Amino acid sequence: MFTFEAPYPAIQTTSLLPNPQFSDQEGVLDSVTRKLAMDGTRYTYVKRRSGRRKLRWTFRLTRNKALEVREFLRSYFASQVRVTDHNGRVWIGNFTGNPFEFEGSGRAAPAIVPLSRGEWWTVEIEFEGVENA
Amino acid sequence: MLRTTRQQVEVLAAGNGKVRISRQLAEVLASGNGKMRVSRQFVEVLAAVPTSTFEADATSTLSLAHTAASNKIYQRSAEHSLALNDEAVGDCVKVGVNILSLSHEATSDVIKSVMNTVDMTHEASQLAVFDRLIVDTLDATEEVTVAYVKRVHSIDALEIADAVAVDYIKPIQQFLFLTHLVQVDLLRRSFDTLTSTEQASVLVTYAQTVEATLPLSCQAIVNCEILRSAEDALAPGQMAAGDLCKVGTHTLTLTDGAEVSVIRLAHSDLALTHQADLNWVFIRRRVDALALAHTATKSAVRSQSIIAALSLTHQTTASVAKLVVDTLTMSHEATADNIRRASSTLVLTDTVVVTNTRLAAQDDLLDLSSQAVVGFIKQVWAANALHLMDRARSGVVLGSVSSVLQELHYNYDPVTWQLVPYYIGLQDQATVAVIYGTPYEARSILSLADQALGVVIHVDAKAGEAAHTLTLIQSVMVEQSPIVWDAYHAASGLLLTHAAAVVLVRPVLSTLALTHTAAVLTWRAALEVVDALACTHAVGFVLISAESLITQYHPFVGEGSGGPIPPPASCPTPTVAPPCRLCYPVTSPTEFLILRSPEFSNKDRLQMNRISRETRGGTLVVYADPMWPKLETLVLTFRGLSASQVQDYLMFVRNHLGLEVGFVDWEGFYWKGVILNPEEPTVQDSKEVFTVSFEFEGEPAVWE
Repeated sequence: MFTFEAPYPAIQTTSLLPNPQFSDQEGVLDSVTRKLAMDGTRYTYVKRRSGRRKLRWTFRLTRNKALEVREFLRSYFASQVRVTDHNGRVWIGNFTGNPFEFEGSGRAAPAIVPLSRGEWWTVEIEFEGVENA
Repeated sequence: MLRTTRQQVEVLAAGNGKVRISRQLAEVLASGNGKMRVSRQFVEVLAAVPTSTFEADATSTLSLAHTAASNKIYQRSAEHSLALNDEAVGDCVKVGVNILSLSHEATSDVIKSVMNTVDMTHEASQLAVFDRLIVDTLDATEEVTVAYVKRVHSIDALEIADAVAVDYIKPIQQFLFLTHLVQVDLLRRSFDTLTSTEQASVLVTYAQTVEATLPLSCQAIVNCEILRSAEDALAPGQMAAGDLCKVGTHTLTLTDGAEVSVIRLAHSDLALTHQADLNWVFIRRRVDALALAHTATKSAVRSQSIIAALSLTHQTTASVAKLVVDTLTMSHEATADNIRRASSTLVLTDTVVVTNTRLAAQDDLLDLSSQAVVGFIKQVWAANALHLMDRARSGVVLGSVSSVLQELHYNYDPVTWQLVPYYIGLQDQATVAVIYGTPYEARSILSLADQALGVVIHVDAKAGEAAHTLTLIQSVMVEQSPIVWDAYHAASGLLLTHAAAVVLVRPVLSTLALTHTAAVLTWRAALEVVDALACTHAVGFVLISAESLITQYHPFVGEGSGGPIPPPASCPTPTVAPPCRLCYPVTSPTEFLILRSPEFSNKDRLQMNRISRETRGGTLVVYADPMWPKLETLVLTFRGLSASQVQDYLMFVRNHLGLEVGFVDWEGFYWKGVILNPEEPTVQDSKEVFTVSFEFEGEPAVWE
C-alpha cells in the first residue's frame, strides 16, 4: 500500500495507491566539491540539504486510479505532501517532477462507469522530502 | 537701290520736305533685299526733328539736343548712345541702347528699352520706364522724378537719391538705394539690398523673394512691409519705425527707439532691446530665440509652433503669450499677464509675476522661486511637477483631472497585475492657498511631505481587495477638519501636517496605523473591509477496507479550509458518447471530424508552473500562485484512418488553424483547446491505412 496525503500538515485528502513498480529510486541530495591546493592537498566542501532525499516511483494504475492521481496532482502539485511508501517509511516533502506525464498503456479492468472496458496507465512520480522518523 | 561703300553725304538744304539733315556719314557695306543695311551712321540734327523716327538698323549715336523734340522713337537694334539733352523731349522711346541720358530739363514720358545705363539728372523726368531686360544702372538724382518703374529682369543697381521721388517700382535688382529725402510709395520686388537712410521713406514694400539685407536707420520709416520669403536681416534701428512687417527673416533686430506695431514672421532671432516696442508678434514657425531685454515691451505674442527659448528679463512685459516653447524664463521684474501654451520648462524667478497661465499640454517642470507669484494656473492636461519653493505662493485652480500638485508614481500590484498610482506633492514650507476640485471628477491625492507630513500611499498586494494604508508618523497632527468639496465620490486625500492644511479622506482602508503622537480630529471613512486572518483547519481520514480502493477512484477527502481545493470525491464521468472526434466551434459545434480511438501510449501531460527555492539550510520551499497557468496536453496518435478521413483532418486543421476547437476523447470527456502541431505530417502506412498524430493543449469543458 502506498499513501499520498496532502496538504501537510493540515491533511485533508488521502489517496491510496498500489505499490510502485520495481526500479524505484532513492538518493541523497547532498553534494561534495573537491578542490586541490598547489601542494596537492585535497579540500572538500560539503553542501548538505537537511537530510532531504530524492525519490522516484513508477506506478501502474487503473484508469480510475490514474484519474484520482491526476486530480490529486492538480490540487497539490505545489503543496507539502506526506507520503507513506510501500516499506512503511513516511516522507514529508514536495512533488518535483514537471510535467507529470500519464501514459495510457493497455487494456485492463475495471472501467470507468458507464464505459464497458477499462485501461491501465503508467505514471512516474518524482518526489523530494525528508523522512519522518 | 543703293550700292555704295563708304559714302559721305553732306546735305545742306531740305530734302523731300520731311527731313533736313546736315552732314551724314554713312558707310554702306552692301545692299540687301531692297532694304538698306547701314553701319556706323552719325546723324546730327540741327533743326526741327521729325515727329516720328524709325530707325531699323544700328545707330552709333542719336542725339536730341537743346530744344529738339521727338515724339516717338523706336529703335529695334543696338544703339550705343541716345542722349536727350537740355530741353529735348522724347515722348515715347523704345530703344535698345547702351546709354540713355536725359539731362537738364529733358523729358521722356515712356521708355521701353533695353539699356545698360539710364541717367536722369537735374530736372529730367520720366513718367514710366519699362525694362524687360537687363539694365546695368538706373540713376535718378537730384530732382529727378520717376513716376512708374516696371522691370521684368534684374537691375544691378537702382539708386534714387536726393529729392527724387518714385511712386511705384516693380523691379528685380541687386541694390536699391534710397537716400536723403527719397520717397518711394510702393515697392514690389526682390532685391539683395534695400537701403533707406536718413529721411528716406517707403510706404509699402512687397518682396516676393529673397532679400539679403533691409536696414532702416535713423528716421527711416516703413509703414507696411510684406516680405514673403526668407530674409537674412531686417534691422530697424534708432528711430526707425515699422508699422506692419510680415517677413521671414533670419534676424530681426529692433534697437534703441525702433518700434514695430505688428510682425508676422518666421525668423531665427527676434531681439528687442532698450526702448524697442513690439505690439504684436505672430509667429507661425520655429523661432530659435525671442529675447526681450531691458525695458522692451511686447504686448502680445502668438506662436503656433516651437520656440526654443523665450526670455523676458529685467522690466520686460509680455501681455499675452501663446507659445510652444522649450524654455520660458521670466526673471527680475518681468511680467506676463496671460500665457497659454505648452512648454517644457517654465521658470519664474525673482519678482516675476504671471497673472494667468494656461498650460495646454504636458509641463515638464514649472518652477516658481523666490518672490515669484502665479495668480492663476489652469492646466488641461497632466503636468509632471509643479514645485513651489521657498516662499512661493500660488492660488491654484484645477480645471480637470490633473495632478498639478503631485508627482505621480506607481507601485506594482502582483495580485491584480496593475500599477497602482500614488502621489507625492508639496515639499518644504510650501503652502497652498486655494484648492478647488472639480465636483464630478475623481480627484487625486494631495500629500504633503517633510514638514508637511501627510503621506498617502495606495497599498498594493492586498489580496482581492482595493486596500489602502494610511500611516501617520512622527509628530503628525491634524489641525483642522478637512473640507470636503466633493460629496459625490470618495476621494483619497488627508491633510495631516504641522502647519499645512490639506483636504479630506473618504477611503476604504485595510489598515489604519496611527503611531506616536498622531491624532485625527475628523475622519470619514468606511471601515468595513479589513484583512482576513487565514486560519486553516483540516480533518483527514482513511478507510482501510477493500483491495478495490487501490483500483477505484476513491480519494478520502476530509473537512478543511484554507488549503488548495481538494480533488472531487467522485470519479469524473463522461459527458459525451464516443466516438472520438474533433469539432468546431467549442460551444454548439457545427463541424465534426470523426476519428477512431487513439493508439495506446497516448499521453496526458500536466504542466503546472511553480517555483522551487532552497533555503540556506537546504530546506526545499515550493510555491505556486493559484493564478499561474496550468497546462494540460494530450498527445494522441490515430492509426487506420482512411484517405478521406486524413484529407478531412488536414482540411479541418487548416480551416481552424490557431482557433480553439473541441475534442471528444475516446472516453467521452470533452476538451477545448488548440492543436499545437498542425505541421505534423500524416503518414500512409499501407494501402488505405493512414496515421495522424497531434498534440492537443486544452482543458476540460462542458458539452453544450
